[in-house]
Amino acid sequence: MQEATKEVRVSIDHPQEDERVTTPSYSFRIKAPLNAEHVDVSIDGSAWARCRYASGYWWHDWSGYGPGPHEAVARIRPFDSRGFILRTRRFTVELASAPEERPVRRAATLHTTIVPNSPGALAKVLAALAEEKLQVSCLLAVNVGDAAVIHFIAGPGELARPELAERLLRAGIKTIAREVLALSLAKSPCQLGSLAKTLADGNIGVRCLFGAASSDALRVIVAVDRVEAALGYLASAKL
Amino acid sequence: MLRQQTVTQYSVVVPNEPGELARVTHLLTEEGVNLEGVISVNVGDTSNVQFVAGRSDGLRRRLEDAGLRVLENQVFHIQLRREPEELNRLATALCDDGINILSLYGNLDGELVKLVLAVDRPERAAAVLSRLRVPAAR
Repeated sequence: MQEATKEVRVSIDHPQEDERVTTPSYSFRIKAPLNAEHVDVSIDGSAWARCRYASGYWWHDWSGYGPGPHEAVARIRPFDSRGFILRTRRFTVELASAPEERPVRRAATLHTTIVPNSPGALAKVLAALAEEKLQVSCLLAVNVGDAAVIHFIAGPGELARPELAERLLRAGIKTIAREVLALSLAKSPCQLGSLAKTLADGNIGVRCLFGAASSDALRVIVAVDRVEAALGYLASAKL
Repeated sequence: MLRQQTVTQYSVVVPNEPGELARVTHLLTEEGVNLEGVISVNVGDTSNVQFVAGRSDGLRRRLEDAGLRVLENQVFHIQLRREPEELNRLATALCDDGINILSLYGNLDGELVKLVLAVDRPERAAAVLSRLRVPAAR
């Protein structure tokens, strides 16, 4: 068991030892060998919670905690082992005074549809939207192999989501709808950098990001794996 | 002639991991560029980051010095009136000329829609845009 522990690279990447956690939600990141069967986390002696695997790491989302010192233990079970590898991390939560206000809601509904990668496929979708008098306020169409993935936000803005979905279906467009971040940033990449760093520090996965400059701002749409947590981090970072 | 109607779009591929987009934008910040458009799309283990920068002297070298492989292509940065039919008219005209859209992205800006358009046949697309009297974004 001890020998096996020495051979594999296992660590709790986030939080680091003695890290100060200042956000209202947090994602633990654990690095484990490729042959890990599963990874669990226990915080302050609580029951083991199963971690999820994404982007080469194991993750545990944590929220609802109080200030003060905490201890987390991660256990990793390799496929070829009957024992666990354990790693421990001590850190401190220092929350700012209780959130005085909810973060400003800056989310929108992004619709995604997939069509063949051929001339006319995008035109067909846009023609259907125009026929239904649906205004596209944000658009990203990008080719991925044999397919073209089209993301768009359609309005008018006051249209309720079910009605919009019905009109899209009537137009023959089957979409997947999801909440995304809709932000207005300075045109300098500095704020975009702060946004990317804030999301990375919160271990929020960015699935897709696109934006274009208007006369005075860079309007950005960001599809993330945890919208509510991302909004919390952005509010904490005053973005 | 085409160069006068197009702008350079840069593409870099980075691992699909938290922090990689921040690494790219940090380099752009250090170069002091203004972004006119940006996309980051995940494909499997990698993320493809594409952007159009307002001023880009030395940008390519800065990115390459940071170990990134940089691709450049010429794209159109255009503006349309904010009417549902306008986008459709553009896409249909490109299609009728056998032009495939590689990527298209943009946002509303007041009464205009500003778009970055990449196609497989830029010369032919330039002629279509001229015919439709589609102006460059300002």
